[in-house]
Amino acid sequence: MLRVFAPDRRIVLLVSALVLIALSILYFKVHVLKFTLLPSPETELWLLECRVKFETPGGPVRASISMPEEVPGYFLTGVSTTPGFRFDSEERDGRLIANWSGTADGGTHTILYQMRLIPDRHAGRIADPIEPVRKPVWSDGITAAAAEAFLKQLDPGGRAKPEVLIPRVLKELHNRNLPSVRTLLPENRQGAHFVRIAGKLLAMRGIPSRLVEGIYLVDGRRRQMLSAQLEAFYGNRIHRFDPLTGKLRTADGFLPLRNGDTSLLEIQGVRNPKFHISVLKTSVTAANLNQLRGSLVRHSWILDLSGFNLPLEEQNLFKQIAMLPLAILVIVIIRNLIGLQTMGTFMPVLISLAFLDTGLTAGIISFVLIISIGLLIRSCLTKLNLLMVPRISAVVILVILLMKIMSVIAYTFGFTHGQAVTYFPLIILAWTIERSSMIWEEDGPRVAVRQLLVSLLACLPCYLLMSNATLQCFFFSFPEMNLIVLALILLIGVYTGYRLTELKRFRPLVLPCSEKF
Amino acid sequence: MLGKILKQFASPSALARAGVLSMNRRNRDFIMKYNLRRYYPMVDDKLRTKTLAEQFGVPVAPLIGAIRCQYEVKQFENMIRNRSGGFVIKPGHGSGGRGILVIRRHSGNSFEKNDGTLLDRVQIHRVITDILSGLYSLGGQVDYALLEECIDFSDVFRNYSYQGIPDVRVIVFRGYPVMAMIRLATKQSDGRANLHQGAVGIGLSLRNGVPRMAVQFNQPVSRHPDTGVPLRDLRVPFWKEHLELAARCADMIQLGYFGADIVLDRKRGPLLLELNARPGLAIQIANHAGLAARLERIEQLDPASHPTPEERVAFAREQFA
Ligand SMILES: Nc1ncnc2c1ncn2[C@@H]1O[C@H](COP(=O)(O)OP(=O)(O)O)[C@@H](O)[C@H]1O
Ligand SMILES: [Mg+2]
Repeated sequence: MLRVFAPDRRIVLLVSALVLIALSILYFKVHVLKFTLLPSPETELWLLECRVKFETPGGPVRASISMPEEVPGYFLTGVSTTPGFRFDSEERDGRLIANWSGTADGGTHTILYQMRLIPDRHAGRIADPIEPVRKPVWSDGITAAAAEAFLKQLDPGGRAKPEVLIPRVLKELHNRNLPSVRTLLPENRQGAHFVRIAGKLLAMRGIPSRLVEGIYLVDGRRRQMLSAQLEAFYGNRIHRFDPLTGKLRTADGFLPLRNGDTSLLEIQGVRNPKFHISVLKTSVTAANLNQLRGSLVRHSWILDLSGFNLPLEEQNLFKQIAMLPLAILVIVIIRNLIGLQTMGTFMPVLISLAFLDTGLTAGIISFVLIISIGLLIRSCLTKLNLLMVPRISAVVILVILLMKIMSVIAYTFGFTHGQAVTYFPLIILAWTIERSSMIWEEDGPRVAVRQLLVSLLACLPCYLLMSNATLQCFFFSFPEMNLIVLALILLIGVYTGYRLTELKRFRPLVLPCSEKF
Repeated sequence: MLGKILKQFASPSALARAGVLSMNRRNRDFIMKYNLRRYYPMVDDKLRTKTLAEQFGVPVAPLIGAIRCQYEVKQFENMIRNRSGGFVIKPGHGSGGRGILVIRRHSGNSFEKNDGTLLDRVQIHRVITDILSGLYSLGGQVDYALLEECIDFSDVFRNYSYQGIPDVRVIVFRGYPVMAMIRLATKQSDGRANLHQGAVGIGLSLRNGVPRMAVQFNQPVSRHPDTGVPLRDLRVPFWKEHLELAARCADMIQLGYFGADIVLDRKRGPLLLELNARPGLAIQIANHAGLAARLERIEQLDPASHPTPEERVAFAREQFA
């Protein structure tokens, strides 16, 4: 019987626990936080830049911007990029309230607030319900009569369906040849006022509606003003109409920012405030998007552990080492499942880490160069009979000088990859030279060169895995996958079967032997 | 093409049927299970092994002394001044024959190595200094140099070895010898008795020490590559004593699985050279037999069934012919 895994309950338990934890966190992130699982390297990201420009004679200033937390298709997060004011933000009634306060010198000031729209299919699907119709109140009898006349002209029978009536109302309300329109809208104002009047007219026919204001997601549209639209409720759904054309609108990139009476900007102690919103499209890697998603959910320990709350710089550091466990797994496989000896257990991992910076070809060339020149010089040192610590130190210094000379030479000959050598871990190189020269002396050049080649070969899968952008994103967004890597390593740790090289080494034992004495 | 490559590999199930012990299984099921880490110094430190062996009446090459500090280096001459025979300087924590200096003869300021080259006092000082600096010890920790008498190896092996002395390796499991081989140094192995460096390994029948087959670099050989003598004629005298010496080592150290290296001295008979807590697996190839089946057989035994080394040797010679 082939007993390959020693049945050890603790290991089985541990491995299942690790896998379970990892998969639960993964499930939580994908299904609750909507992380992108298999990322396309780049995704688009919309930015809204809110800019409040104002004048002040000098003195205390308070401002607050209120934005929805979610809109159909997006979650919103905001950061202030305004120095000089105290900033804080809070969530209230489904809105993000950003507050600035401080004392300003006299003059013109600008408050900048950058919002990011994080795509999510599920966001903002449940819109605020529209209040039932209240009987409209007109300012005087003449206006009320004009409204009555307007509706009668459009829909004499009073039986038109909302989907027919609403466009007709919006369109005819632009027709200034009609006396009733001139009475209802004496000043030919567009925007919010227009929509409110249209809403009153619809209310007279029992159709609930409201005014929404928002912006359009169009790349590079600077200084957008709020655009007013009409939302009406019928057929169990909310429908949105463009008051300018009277057309029903869907999926046109309109982003509702407020409805009813919520105000976007409140500001005190200033003169002449101007509020603009600019829309900008940028692209981010999926990993960064996942990171943004992570920052969206405050106070979640899983994300705290995933490191999404760390400063960006530190997060980038982790991006580099996020893949290391995978490379270590490769080494474990090479040593315990395949059975190849590398020079120094984790030397290939460190060397391939350097390859990430240098690129593969430049990396391999400089590695081979340094090691061979190093070995040559080291063989001269042998003759001097130095003590060990001074000798290794001498090798380290030689490696430093070699690196310097090589980059200078490469530079003079116009190879831009000249500085590639400097990425290599110095001490590892020195030890590699020292060890291979010892092996060279003791077991011969063949063994030494073979071990060096095997080590270099082991770098390849490490490098290919670590340089893979998709994997990088994946492991950065889901560091819990390292628990699965750990589980795999634990499993290999109890593997007592044959290594691949042993199948070859011990093959004579399964053949009949004629050389037996 | 693929078939040709595949043919070079044995199927895992065939190896398992042949009872071949894998490296992973040796490490996990035997070394980790039966050799507690804290007992390793007993075998990794050659001086401790030697003192223990002397306590338990296991014969070893007599100790001359140990040099632990740089200022003691020059004292080595006092240590050997009154000795006429050869001596050996070796690192206390060495392995694989590294850093071992065998001096056959010496007179005044001239020391003759076993390959015939002559060294002077300063060169020997340097060897000792190297040892002290940890050059040959694992991880480069500071080490000490051990001086012991040179083993005067028995004439029976005269033509079976190139320079170095042949040693008998016995794998001992829970006090039972389970497999044995003799290792012969060759020119290719540079006079050292390590199989991976090119020494010849000859599997020995546990029953009577008669060769079963010989391999060099895992390939069968019939004659010594340097001296040309037919290897099948090799006989190991004092075979029972070899095995009993190995079995007795199990009583003196608390390791369940180890390899004992034994050399045959002309006058003193079998001597323990060193113990190894992680003996290699090539012995299986030299014996054309797997270790796993034998180890499992011993594992099934009641630990109290053979209390003395003699009984255990008798049992093993009976079981593992
Ligand atoms: N006392 C000795 N007399 C002669 N040769 C010796 C002696 N001790 C060691 N040697 C030689 O050195 C080799 C290795 O010695 P050993 O004690 O096994 O050290 P290591 O742990 O480095 O293998 C032996 O195979 C033998 O050839
Ligand atoms: Mg040895």
